Amino acid sequence: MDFGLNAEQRRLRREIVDFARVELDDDVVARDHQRTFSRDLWDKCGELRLQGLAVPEEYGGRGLDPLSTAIAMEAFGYGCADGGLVFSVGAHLLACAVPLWRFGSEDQKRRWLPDLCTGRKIGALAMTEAESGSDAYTLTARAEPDGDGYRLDGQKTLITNAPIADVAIVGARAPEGVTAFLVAIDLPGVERGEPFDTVGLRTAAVGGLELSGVRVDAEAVLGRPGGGGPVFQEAMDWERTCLFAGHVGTMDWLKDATVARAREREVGGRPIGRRQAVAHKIADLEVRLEAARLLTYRAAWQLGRGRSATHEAAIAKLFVSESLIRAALDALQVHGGHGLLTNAEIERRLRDAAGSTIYSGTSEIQRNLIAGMLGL
Amino acid sequence: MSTIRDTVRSFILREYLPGVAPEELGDDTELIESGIVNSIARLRLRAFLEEELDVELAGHELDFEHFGTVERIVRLLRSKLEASR
Repeated sequence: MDFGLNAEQRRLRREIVDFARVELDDDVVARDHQRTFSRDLWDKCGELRLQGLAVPEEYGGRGLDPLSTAIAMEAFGYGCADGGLVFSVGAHLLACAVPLWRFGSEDQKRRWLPDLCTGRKIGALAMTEAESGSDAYTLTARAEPDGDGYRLDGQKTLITNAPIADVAIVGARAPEGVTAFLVAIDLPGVERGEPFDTVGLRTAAVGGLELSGVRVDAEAVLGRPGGGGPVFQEAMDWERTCLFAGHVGTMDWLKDATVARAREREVGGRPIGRRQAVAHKIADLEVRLEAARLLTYRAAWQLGRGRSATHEAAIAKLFVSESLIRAALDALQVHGGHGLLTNAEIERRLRDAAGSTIYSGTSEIQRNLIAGMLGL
Repeated sequence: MSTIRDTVRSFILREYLPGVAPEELGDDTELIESGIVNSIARLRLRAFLEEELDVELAGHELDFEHFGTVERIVRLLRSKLEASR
């Protein structure tokens, strides 16, 4: 068992941290305030093929194994101050490009993956509905047989990238069962909603997707008719591991910022970090960060073995998300009133963290899953 | 030495049919449609079989065609194990 990164993984980490700091961090406070997704920054990420990290090179991706993908996403979350951008890239990669690579036909992969991996096209996973969240088997969108294809009807909500997407994996109930369809957004009957105004991740475009009599060929089915559940589950296994690896990076940034603040800020003639009430809070943050990182790497390692990673991914997601919120609150507390100012970069990270226990399956769903995998 | 079929049957009987007589679980008993094995149970069965038999199962193989009955699961596992030899 080796807990260290190899030379290639260290180089990958440096490359992405340096890139993000130099190319992506300008004006993030203003973009957050104005709720602006930056296509320019998205395209810069595409030059590094961050949108295709885990996709094989033959389809235009970087061909990283799952553990290296998690390390890359962690570096992205650490170096990039724009949490919404990291979230958009992660959702695109892990919930659209990866399931397309894993379940798609050769024609589907050749048609979509090269442009998805470079960011020329933007992808989304459209499963969530007003009355159906993390349970793919309760969705109400319909796929009625129509000639040699299907006709799709339904309303999706809270879909990351929906307002800017070119293609979406859409979950709908067909006669064969819940089925995943690859739907080009420019098809007649598909309507993208406006981005929602959200508490955090405001630079990501999250919105609805409406399908009204959308005609798709049988070739639009991703995987097999009735096989949507496994597509969604595998997307979640990857997302809960690698998107949340980005949050491990954010926790690492919060730790560094908080240590720096505790060393610099003096009260009563000595740094506040010399006081145990502050030092212990930061020590606990460090413990949670290390545990979050190990759980994430363990889930990624399991994905790389080609084995079921559902249990490990659920544990990692649950712990990372709850630890992230705690880390952001602790960082704010140590920064004091200064941390409330937008330019201090703490309050935005707290707002960005707030949704992490909800998307990709709530904490309650993760606990249900973990308990279920224990036979409870 | 237990067979693949014994491994599959004993796990399903122990975890999802406690108290049920073994002879009531036939090779062709519908596992998914009957509700014996729900979506989480399938994930758990996959994880168990992967570790127990050192075999890789893909997400799309957890469907009716491959995981719908004991017989279909055994057939899938045999094909995987033979391919890995």
